[in-house]
Amino acid sequence: MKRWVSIVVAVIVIGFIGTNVYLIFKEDSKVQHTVHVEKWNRVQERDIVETFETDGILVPKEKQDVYLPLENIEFQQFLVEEGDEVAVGTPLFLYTSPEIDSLKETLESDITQVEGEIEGVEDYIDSLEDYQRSIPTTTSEIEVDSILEDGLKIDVHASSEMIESTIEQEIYKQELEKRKLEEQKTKYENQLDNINEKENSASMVSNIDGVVVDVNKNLGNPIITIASNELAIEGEFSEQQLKKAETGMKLTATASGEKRKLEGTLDKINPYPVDEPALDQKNAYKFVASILEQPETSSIGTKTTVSVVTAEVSDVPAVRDGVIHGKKTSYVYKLNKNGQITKNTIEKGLSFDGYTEIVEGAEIGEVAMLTPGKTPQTNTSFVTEMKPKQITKVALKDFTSREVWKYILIGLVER
Amino acid sequence: MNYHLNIVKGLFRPQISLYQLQKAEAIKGVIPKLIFLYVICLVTFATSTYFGIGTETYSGNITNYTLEKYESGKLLLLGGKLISGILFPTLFIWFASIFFWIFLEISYIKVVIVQTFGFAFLLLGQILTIPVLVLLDLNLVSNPFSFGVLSQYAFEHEYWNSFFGSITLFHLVALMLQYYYFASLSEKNRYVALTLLILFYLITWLLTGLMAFIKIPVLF
Repeated sequence: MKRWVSIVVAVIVIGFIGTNVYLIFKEDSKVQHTVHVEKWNRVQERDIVETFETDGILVPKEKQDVYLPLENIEFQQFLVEEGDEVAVGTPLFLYTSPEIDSLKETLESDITQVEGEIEGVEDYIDSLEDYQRSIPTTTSEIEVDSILEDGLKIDVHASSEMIESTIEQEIYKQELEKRKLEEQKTKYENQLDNINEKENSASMVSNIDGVVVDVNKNLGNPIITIASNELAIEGEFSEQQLKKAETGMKLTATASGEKRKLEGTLDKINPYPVDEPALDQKNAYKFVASILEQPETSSIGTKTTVSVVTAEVSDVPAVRDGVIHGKKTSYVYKLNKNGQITKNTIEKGLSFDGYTEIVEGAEIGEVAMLTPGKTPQTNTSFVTEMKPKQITKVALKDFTSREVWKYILIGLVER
Repeated sequence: MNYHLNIVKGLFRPQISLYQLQKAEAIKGVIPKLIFLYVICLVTFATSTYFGIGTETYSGNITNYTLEKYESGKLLLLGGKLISGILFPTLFIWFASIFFWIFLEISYIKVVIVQTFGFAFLLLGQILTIPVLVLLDLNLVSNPFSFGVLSQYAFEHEYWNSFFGSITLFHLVALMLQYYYFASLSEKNRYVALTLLILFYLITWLLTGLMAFIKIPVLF
């Protein structure tokens, strides 16, 4: 008799709890939930920098080969030897030639041409800078300089930030071009200065600062090779890195022994692999990067770790990766000021090193759920676990006495 | 004969405990056992606050407080909860016993012991409920041991859901257990004990229902 009763009671109890659990979890359940949030993350203003790393080595920025200036010359003597340091304008060798006069003329016309080119580049830079200033911060109407825009290949729908960065890159490139042209001009001028008309002789001069690394005693071309003092970084990219890298990208390099990080720009990427392509090998592609501020102590051959910045955004709203859910469309579960969770679709931006930029859908200061990962119903209440380590006396003193009573009363009464 | 208060035996061997209580001339060990029960109650309440149970109306502060302030404020909630951890057993055991003592004519200390059994069982229920609520992401109104789930399908009104949410299986068992003791210890009609207990629990449910329903910030 007794046994019979307890079996019935047990069945009723289990049936009751089972029904409740079913009603709680069935689809479109009417039962209110409270999500117990373990971890959450506040949308913060951050810089997100996407990088990849590779090895590099410090090399002379350029090796300049010096050629005999004319065909019909009489070589007199070398003025430098291998290992000598030379500066711009240091005479390298002496020669005489009956064609000196025509060389002079050629040089003069070369100088005029280069000057013209420099002027053209300067004008272009000026107009780029004007354009840059004309870009408003808000997306109001932009006065479009169609010629410039075609040249820059700017999309009509591009954001002003994108346009700005494209222009900046273009200005950088043009300034580089201008420097090259100016160097060329100095070279021609130096050569001109070193022509001695009376003796029909001339000396060939160096147009970079550096060290003579090769002197060809057989008088074949190139007759002298000079390695520049200015350093650059050379290294190799893997196939995947090659896909991400583009010339003009910023990079940083840490050289052993050098305290500060070297900053530079990717100048050249050789898309043809270092070794002949073969099926059973991984290809490597050479790159050269210039260094903005020359290192003080590091010498040629110093190994560096290079990190190439492939994309960069600064001062954008960002969250930890775990906050963003969904595959096709991305969304976050926001914790609102009325104590409810809402599901909001967002637009993801750049993502690197555990953080993702939120382009649209959430603002700085808002809070979103990190865990639990399971999908909560939207518009449910949430509570959070205590984090005793975060409790501070200062923060506690920040409460007004009204708030103190309110919260003690919540603890006392609400359940 | 001396009776030593043994709560576990009181819950799971009621026949023996009842017999001993009936024969008891002197009763010992009540105070230390009750102090122990108070401590368990405080720890249980603190644990449930640690996991955030019943802090829904505080949660919204997460958006405008700093992390430190938000977490420090929970210390105030905990303070309030600990006060209720003292009040709740006191009202349940010491205060309610006065009425049973008056109407059932059982010695006060014996009523206190029976109420202790009832309270201990409810506390056991609360301890079991905490992980269920946390793991299934529920609140007390939707406690699967309660009638709140069924009520949410039957009623729209939140207060009734809170009321039924505060009626749990543990309450029913505690009620029957207390009835078993009171009916045998009292010389009065069994129905007097039953009526008193139902009345007592009805008030308990109405009050705890109100506590689950009320939103303190509205008052401020």
